[in-house]
Amino acid sequence: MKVFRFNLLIGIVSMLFFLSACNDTPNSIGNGSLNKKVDYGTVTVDTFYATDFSTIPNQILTSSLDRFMLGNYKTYQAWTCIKFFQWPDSLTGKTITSATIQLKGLYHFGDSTASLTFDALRAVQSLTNDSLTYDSLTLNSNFYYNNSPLPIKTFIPVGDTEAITISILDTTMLREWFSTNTDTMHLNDGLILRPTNSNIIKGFYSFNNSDTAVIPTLSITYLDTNGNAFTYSHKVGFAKYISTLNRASLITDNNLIYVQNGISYRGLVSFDSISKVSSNWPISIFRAVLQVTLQSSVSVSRDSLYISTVGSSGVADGVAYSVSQRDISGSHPLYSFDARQIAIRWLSNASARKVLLSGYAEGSSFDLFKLYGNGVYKPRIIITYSLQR
Amino acid sequence: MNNSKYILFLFIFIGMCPLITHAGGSSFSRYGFGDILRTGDSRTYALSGTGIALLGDGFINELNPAGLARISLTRFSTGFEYNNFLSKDETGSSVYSTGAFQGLAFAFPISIDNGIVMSTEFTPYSKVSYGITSPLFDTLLQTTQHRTFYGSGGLSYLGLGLSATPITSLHIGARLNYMFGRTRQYQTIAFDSTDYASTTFDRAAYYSGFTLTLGTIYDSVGTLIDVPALRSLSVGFTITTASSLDAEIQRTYPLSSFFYNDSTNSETGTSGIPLSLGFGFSYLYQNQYRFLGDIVLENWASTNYFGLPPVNIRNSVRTSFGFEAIPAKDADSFMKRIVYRAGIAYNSTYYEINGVGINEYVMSGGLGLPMGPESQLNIGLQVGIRGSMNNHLQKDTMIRLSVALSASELWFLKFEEE
Repeated sequence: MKVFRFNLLIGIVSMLFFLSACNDTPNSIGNGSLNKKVDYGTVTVDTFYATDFSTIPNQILTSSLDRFMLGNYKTYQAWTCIKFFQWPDSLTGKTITSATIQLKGLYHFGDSTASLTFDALRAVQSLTNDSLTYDSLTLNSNFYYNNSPLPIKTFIPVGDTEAITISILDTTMLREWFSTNTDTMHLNDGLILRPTNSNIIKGFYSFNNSDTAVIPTLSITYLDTNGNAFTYSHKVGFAKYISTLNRASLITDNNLIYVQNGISYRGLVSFDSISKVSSNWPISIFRAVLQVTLQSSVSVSRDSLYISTVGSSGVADGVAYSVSQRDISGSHPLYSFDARQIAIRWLSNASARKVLLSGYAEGSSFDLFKLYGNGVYKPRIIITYSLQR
Repeated sequence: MNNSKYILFLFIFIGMCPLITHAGGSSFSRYGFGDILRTGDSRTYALSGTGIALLGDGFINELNPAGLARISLTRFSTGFEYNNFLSKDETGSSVYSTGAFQGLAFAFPISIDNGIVMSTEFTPYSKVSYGITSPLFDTLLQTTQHRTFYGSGGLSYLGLGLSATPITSLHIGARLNYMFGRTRQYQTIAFDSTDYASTTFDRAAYYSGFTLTLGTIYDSVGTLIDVPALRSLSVGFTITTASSLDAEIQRTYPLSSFFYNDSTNSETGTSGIPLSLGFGFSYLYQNQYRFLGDIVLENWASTNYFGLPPVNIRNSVRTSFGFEAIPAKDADSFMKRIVYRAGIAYNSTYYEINGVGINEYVMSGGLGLPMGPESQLNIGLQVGIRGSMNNHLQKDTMIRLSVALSASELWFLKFEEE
């Protein structure tokens, strides 16, 4: 009897336990008991306008780009730093008799028919540091490079995609470059190409391209121990550019936001007006569109902008970002961004309700976007949301 | 380990298992603290929750602490409930099922002569469990919103009770109840239009606070009024104080992986538990048939929720009657020692939705199966209906099955098989 009772109990309880573990998918039964106003909240579409804006300089990390720039145009300047290294062991210590550098073009800014000229300067310090700016480079010229131009010959055809050739005539420097692969004496810090022209900036393929046919190439002729001449092409190296622009020549209208690629300058736009919504936080944000209106642009090769969130330090923190879509249906071209993630962040826990406007791939061109900062076309964010209590 | 211990651990294990349910119940539980549970002990479950005036040795009266006064052995009780809902509205019907731990209670006699018994119990107080999908065309956005509302959680209380018999036939008791729990409302929102993002919203409310239940039972009314036929009539009264539970609502907006943290805000306030008054009687006829009746009134409408009147809530009145056929003391077989129970209840619940008061009718029945000395396996079945389909509401048909164990310390002792 006792065993029977025990088994009865176990059986009943187990049956109930497994029965109750059924999952039930929600359905519309009971929908009528919901209070649509309270339970759904009120869907609202609000537009909030920018409360402040400015144009701020920015440092571009050009060493990781697919291109580097060289040349002068108006007050724009772009200097190139280039270095070849990691020689084959079989070449170290060889007697170099000549060398040429070939750079393959892919971009220009300015007068496409203008000629490009430059000096080649021997670098005497490492230039790989991404924080190196134009000002520090030129103010400490004797520290970073030998200010006497190297003897070179150049062949620079007109045309964006043409390759230019730089013949280096200083074989002493070349032999020092090739003397070792473990350079502790700053024998090989590469070259600085300082533009001397005035009407064009050209862009060249950097080492960060998978197609070895277009990346910078150092071709050398050397002698073996028997005095026989051989040639060799080397494609391992590092290149970047350092650029500058006269700020006063860029920012000529305080009502505009200037987004200048290639230098760069970015727009910093504040939306403190959004705090009206945050008093009701949290809300369900279904959509948020940030819009900026173009006043004019010049030499646009990539017609796209980029927004990103800003941390408490005032710089882009990359937590949320968005790429624009362009609408030219109105009287003024409009750039629209999906800013839902940014709006959520602004309304929840952001220390700064600001957004940075930059050019898409801002290191790859010198595109300039002039955007309205004030007036009826000033930046705005349109938020579709529902209050939830 | 003997079978008794296996059974105890089985109950505790099941009680601790989190049951994964989605819909699980009626949409009415979206309001207030959800469905208020009034099961009492496993014995009173089959009596439709009737037992304010019930006094005895064989169970722990969770409806009235004065009802502990006759306990002579250390006792415990625990149970498990299977709950099945058939909800029906003008659009169709749906069946939901859930399972739940019914609580755990212990009682320890301190002075049998003076009726001093201490008890401690952990008991579910309310339950929220629902899932509703709701489409709505948004005229502003010109697209259809699809919202799914989920609710879960509920309140429980941890009670510390004490009874005493100061004078013959008069039993008093008090229980301090620490009420606590969390209710969660979770919402997903999606649109037909791809212009609008799907969102989720999570609202969790945490409650805690104390109430005090005072009770009394007078077990010989007939003697008091000199009517011998009513000598076995008991009357009981309970009062549970109103209370303002500390409440914290945490609203969470789950964010994408772009973000470091979910976005939350919290708000603190109070949420009211109403004054509860209970009256009951119990009449034992020929030592074999017990008739019981209870009425419980709770003034929910006067409570507040974060300083505001609660939405869709009214005062509640619950009336119930129970019947119990008790075996003869000299019953010598298993079948003869079975207790038979039945009950009915009418509950004017505290829900009032779309202007319609939600009323509940329950019939119950059950058995008390002897499981050993001073121990019973109580099986109770409640069948009820709730609500109406007026004003686009729903009607619930409920089937609840409870299996619970009520045992004394003797249950752990090993006896020779007969």
